[in-house]
Amino acid sequence: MTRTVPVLLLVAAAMLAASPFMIDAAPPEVTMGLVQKIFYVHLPSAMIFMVSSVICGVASALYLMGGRSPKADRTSVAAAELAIVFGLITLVTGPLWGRKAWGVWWVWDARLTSTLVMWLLYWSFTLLRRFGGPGSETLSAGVGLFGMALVPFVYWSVNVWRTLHPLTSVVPRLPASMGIPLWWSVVAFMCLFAALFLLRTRVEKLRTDLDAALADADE
Amino acid sequence: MKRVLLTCALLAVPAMTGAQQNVPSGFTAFDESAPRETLPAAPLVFIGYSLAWVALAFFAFTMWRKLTKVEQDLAELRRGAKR
Repeated sequence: MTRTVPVLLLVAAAMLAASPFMIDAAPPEVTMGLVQKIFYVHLPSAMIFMVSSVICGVASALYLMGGRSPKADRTSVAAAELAIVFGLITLVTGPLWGRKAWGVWWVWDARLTSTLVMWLLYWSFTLLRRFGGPGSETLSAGVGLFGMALVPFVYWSVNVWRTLHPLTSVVPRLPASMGIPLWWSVVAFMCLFAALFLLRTRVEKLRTDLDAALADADE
Repeated sequence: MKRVLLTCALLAVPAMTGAQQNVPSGFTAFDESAPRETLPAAPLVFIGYSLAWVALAFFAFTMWRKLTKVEQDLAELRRGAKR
């Protein structure tokens, strides 16, 4: 862990330092123009938001069904906090793009609304852990499971309901000039996410160790 | 029958005149100099990227600070236990 985090941070920093040049070199989209460049930060953060949700959901399921494992609990806490961070980036960059491309900051369609609901669910997870008192681990694990259940709903919402948001078929059809900078950003964001995730789980592990040590000292 | 026809006529006349009022009387030429909404894209892109980096840097900083604090507390507790 002590070596992995700096290495991942270094890789992420190097890739993110190169990404502005790649994004600048990518051609602007024909109808949206320059504002479409928000895509290279919006989509990677949205992908990581979903990845964090799945990690949190799987860890919550393992916690509930696997004998209340502390490791699963720590994993779910770290993933939920990162879901909040990357969800925030998604929900801020999306309206900035939409204001220029659609003429409005926000529309209450299926994709945007379900993303907001999913993000609020991770807030409820984190608030429950902070202020829920004893037993909040089990309750928050239940919330984590619901968060994961929302992921396919959010992903396919654009294909099922009428919405202003682009369809999921946009990404596989991207020309190489747009696809390469996008996947470069995705890998860079993934490295950053992995580093932050390991760091957050380490903090949680040390905090439980500290609580246990304090309890021993009191006895 | 006359009454029915008269009622129909009285109802139809305002409806027709109302419909006619909504029809534009002709085409208006597009005025190139007229003010249009021109929202610059560059500030939106700049704000988007800046906010993303601020959020990530803030999270990384708070995590690093928490980690240092917990490690210090643990080390202090262990030193106290040894004494």
